[in-house]
Amino acid sequence: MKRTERPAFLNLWQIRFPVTAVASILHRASGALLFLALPLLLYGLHRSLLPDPGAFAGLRAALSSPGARAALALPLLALAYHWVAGLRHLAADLGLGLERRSARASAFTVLGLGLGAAALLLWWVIR
Amino acid sequence: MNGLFAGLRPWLVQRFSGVYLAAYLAYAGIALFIAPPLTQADWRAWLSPLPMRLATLLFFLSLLAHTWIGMRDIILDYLPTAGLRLVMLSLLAGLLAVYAAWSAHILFVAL
Repeated sequence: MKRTERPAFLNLWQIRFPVTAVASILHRASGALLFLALPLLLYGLHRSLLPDPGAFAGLRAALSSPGARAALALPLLALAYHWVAGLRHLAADLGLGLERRSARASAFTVLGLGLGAAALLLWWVIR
Repeated sequence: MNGLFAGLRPWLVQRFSGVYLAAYLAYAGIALFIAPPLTQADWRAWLSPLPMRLATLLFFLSLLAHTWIGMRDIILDYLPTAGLRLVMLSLLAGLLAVYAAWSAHILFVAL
């Protein structure tokens, strides 16, 4: 089949996205980020169980350092957001919040909770 | 092969794995927040009872299934050619298989 010469407008900077679209793409992006952080999770878990005396204590100490916390903040934010947005997704699968009004409200809620999580994590890093 | 790529099954797997992942994370997050293990002995005591090991293994298997479907969607949505998709999907599958083996090792050899 020959591809037709239909016009397409894909300038992401000029398209106006509904709040639900923002919530959705952030869900995808946070998921992808978590995928990239997976080996870190496995490594941390593995290291926490190693018999050499410094392993566990070293991890605990690292978790108190602002540097390590700063590095962990983004994956943790991704996790928090993906978890909350996931609940919204599951609710939608059950038929809840499919109307335009409720969909927008739940999207705003999820984004708001994401901001809350970001604030909490920022405090966790800085303190 | 269809069950890996299209139709009702992957959709269901993503939902069920999502529910289990959400529940496990809530449980572990709350438990470890309330009583963070101070020593490796405490940590092992929390993680090594058989039910917890199995629940955690299930967590990792669910995570890998959930990840496969999510990343598969991203690959299929954004990569334009069949060749590129094949390569990336194969890499993804290989990586997830390695992670599966690694998590089994962590939970039943290292632990």
